[in-house]
Amino acid sequence: MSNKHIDDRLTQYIASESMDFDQDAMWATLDSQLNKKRRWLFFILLFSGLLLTSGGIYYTTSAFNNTTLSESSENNSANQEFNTQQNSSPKETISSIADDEKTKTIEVPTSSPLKEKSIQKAEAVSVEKTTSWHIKQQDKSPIKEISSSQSNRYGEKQTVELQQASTADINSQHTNQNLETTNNLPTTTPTAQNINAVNETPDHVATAQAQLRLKNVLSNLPVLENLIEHVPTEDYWPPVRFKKDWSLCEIKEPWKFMVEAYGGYAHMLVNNEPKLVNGELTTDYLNLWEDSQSPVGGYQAGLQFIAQSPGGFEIGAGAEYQELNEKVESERTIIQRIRIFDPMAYFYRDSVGNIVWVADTVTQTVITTEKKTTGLHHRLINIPVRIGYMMHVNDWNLGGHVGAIFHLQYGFDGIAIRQNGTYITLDSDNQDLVYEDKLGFSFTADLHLGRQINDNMELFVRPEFRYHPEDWTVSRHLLSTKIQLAQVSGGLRYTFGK
Amino acid sequence: MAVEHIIKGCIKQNRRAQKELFYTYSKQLMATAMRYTKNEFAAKDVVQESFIKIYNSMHQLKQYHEGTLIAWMKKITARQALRYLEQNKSFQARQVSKRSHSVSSTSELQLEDVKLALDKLPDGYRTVFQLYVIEGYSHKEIGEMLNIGTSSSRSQLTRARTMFYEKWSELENYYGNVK
Repeated sequence: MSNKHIDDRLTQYIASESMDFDQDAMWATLDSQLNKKRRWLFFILLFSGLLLTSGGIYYTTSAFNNTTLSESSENNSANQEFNTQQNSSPKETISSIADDEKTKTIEVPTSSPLKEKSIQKAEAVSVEKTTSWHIKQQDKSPIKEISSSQSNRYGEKQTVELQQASTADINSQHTNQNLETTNNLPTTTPTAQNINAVNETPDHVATAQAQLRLKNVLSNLPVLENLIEHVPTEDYWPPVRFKKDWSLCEIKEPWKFMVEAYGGYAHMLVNNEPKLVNGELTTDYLNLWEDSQSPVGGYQAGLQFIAQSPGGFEIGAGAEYQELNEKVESERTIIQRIRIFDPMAYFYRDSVGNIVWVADTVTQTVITTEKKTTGLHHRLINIPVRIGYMMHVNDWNLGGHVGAIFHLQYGFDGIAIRQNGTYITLDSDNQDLVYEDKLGFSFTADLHLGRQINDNMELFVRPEFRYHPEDWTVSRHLLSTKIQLAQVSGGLRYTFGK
Repeated sequence: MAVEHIIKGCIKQNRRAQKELFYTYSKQLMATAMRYTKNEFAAKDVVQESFIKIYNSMHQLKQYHEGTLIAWMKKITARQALRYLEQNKSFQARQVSKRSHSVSSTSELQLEDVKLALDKLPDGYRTVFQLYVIEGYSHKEIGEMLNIGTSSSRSQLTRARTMFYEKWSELENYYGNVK
């Protein structure tokens, strides 16, 4: 039977082999181990999600704050108007006596110069308005229509139109002037009688408060006019988006979207530590390793997409290729033993005296030492995710980023030295013997210095440090090797749109 | 589930596919691990580690055929078993295989008999022989795995073959006589 046939039959036999064991128990262990790996992925996704969410919250909150601020300042000025109209003293507590049962108290701080200006303006307006009312009261018109219109800074016309009952008795409780007017009113007119009837009803209180509020609105309008003088021209403001209600007007500067291409040099900071094996530190191996292997450096090139908020915060993600190189100096001693068949190795003379040659073999030993310098190349495909802040000073952009580099793929080839001094050729097929087949992720921090070369294009340089917390070597390898990277990259950043 | 679907599911890290793969092939891999380690406890360890490697490197598989898949998984298991033995050199308490060390009573050559013939080879010869003939590794790969030269691997295989064929012939003669 031929060798080949026996080999084939043996393979057939072995192919059918199987062994019973507790599969459920092993699967349970395996399942938990696989879950551990998934947990890592979960945390990475959670981290990215948190980053995006916090960015979104920041963006939303800043827009909301702008709106709230403008609304609250309007309310303040309205309150100030109310107080100044009722009191000559800048800071006093006043009580509206429109309601017998309820007393409304408002306190106003007086330190703001703007407010003082507003007070002066409001006082003048107050006097003017009161006089006007007085005259109208004298006309004895029971119902007065008061209309006030104001153009806002965007050219929209705001109109406040009020239908005001001439409730002289209410006015009399506010000012002496109004009191006099009330006294002069004839009470015999049908309208006045109606008003008196109204005064006797409980709605009187609500009507009085409504009157006060309307007065506030009216007196507020000149102050707004005054403030508008301080508003910059439209050129200063970014585009404005109006909603249905003016009070919800939202001022929004758009986000910028950019793409950058970069490349640069990476310097490897290698730290090898010996391990404790069978109670002994593998220091000899460490020395051997460091004598023969030394880091040379590497390069990286990548593409990144960035979204930048109006405030200068930015978030970016991209793809990157990186290659890191180590120099390996190997010294090989080659011992060659050559056995030569020498047909004339020796001779003897026969009884007649003739020479008889006897064949023999001669073994020759050739020892040669070969020195060779080769390399070990680490190749990585990375997904960088960064957040950062950028300041714009004239044409310069200064800032920094922090983030994570997810090592999507890691492979290498080259030569490494074994503990016994021999060399092993590493490739994707036997990488488990020395280096990990996956690297997980690294942390990164960088500084960014850029200069705008035109409206859309920026030229930048970026020193960066990458920290990888785990060993690059497999756990069973005799050395613990950590590699950190100090890098510098340069590139171009292009901003889409204006 | 078809093999192709299992492989594609495992590439996507689908747990159901991983479980299916495990329950379908773990017994075969256990036998492979057992051939090298001769110890059930060690073999279980090896199979478990092997499956993690298999799941993580499933994307490297070029062909989605069952034969290719099994051969590839057995290769990984064999490598893992050798690595285990290298790391646990002090581990001497190898359990003796539970199977009987006598030829089977049937009239045909059985798997157990073939294994018995293999077991009778010296450790070094058997390992090289198994790696080359059964798992399909090249001499270069065997040399790197066992930390020996390619020529040593070749010479050990030749000697192992000679010894194994002698045993095989003995067994065939025995069964020939039985018939």
